[in-house]
Amino acid sequence: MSYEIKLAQYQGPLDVLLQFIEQEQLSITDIALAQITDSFIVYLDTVEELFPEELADFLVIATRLLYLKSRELLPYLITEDDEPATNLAEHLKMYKEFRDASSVLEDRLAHGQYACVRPVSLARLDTVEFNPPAGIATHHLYELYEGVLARLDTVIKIPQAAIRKAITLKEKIATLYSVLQQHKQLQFSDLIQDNKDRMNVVITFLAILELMKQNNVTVQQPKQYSDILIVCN
Amino acid sequence: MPQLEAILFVLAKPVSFSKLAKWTNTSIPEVEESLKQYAAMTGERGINITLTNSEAQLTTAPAVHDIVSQVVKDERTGDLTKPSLETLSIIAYRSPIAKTELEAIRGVNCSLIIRNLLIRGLVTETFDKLKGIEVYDITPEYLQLLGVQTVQDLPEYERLHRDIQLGERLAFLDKPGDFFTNNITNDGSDTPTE
Repeated sequence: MSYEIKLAQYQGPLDVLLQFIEQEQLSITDIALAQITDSFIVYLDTVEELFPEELADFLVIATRLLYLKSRELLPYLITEDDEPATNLAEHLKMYKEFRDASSVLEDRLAHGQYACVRPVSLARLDTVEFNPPAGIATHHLYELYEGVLARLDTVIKIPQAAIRKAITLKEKIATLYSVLQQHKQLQFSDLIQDNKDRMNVVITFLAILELMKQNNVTVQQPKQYSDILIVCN
Repeated sequence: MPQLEAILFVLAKPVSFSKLAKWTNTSIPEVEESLKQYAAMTGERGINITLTNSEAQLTTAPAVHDIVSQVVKDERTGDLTKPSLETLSIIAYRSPIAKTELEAIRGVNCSLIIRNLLIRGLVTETFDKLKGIEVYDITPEYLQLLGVQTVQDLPEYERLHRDIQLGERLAFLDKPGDFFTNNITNDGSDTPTE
């Protein structure tokens, strides 16, 4: 299945989801959503490349899709205590209502039949004055500006941290796969030999799982808790 | 009503219902009711009125825009990006609306878009004392660009504007089908909570 998504400008995750469903000419149901989960996950790469700061919103929807798909695949694991299926399908239907309404309004705006107002005399706008509060001094302005900069700092730093993590896993998969291609087969313990960092071990393991899913490697574990042999396909 | 019309004519800018009520020595609901009647009567006239949830302004009729634009330069433009337009549409249909509800519908953080719309003067932000949160509404300018007098004139307004909490709707919905027809309120009320 190949999809074409218009990328002229940023579109939210629900918009993208709707386009997938419409292209497949499916109606909005849990089953349809489970079907297009993989395409949506693949699309995350495009988002990361073009609109990295928006990735979080897409990840939220991706998790809801994955949860939905897992329920479709493993229905026998659902117990009564489990959360009901996500309301993603209902949510999407409601979103669609507003999106459709929005395109009707877009046509109206393009039509250009505005209601005009009487121009307010510009003379009144000429008297621009600077009225600072009483008792303000230069150091107040300095402190306020410092405060603004400090707040900007957190805004700028947060998305960077999130993105770095996402790239690490992808890079890990790439490097791991090239190492495996050279050696044909490796033990898991070899891969994590130098890794004191717990996070790194986790990411290595996740990368192996992903490579398995892509059918690039096969793994063998003779018995419980023993070392894992990874063979390049 | 002649008093309201006169005030709106001389001021030539959006005037709040509360000011109109004060100047005419009436109540806000009375002002609102009179202005709604006025809007219904504009019919074939060259003068229309723009009514938001809190303000009124006299305008020319959208139908004669071609002629009017020869006489007065109108530099306003309806050029908006799709996400901005989508946000504006949701605000128009659901106003007064909280940011959380807006974000729940769109599935996206909307802070930046709201800020841009505020700067462009298409959206207002007011503090809802009862709910203790900021709520958003559209300005007369946006209605004027759309060429309608009130949000009620927008297509499918009644259906898309319902006074039910979004969270409740999402939580209790178990039947597939049309989202809105399944959720008609018991009292049939269509007015937003104040």
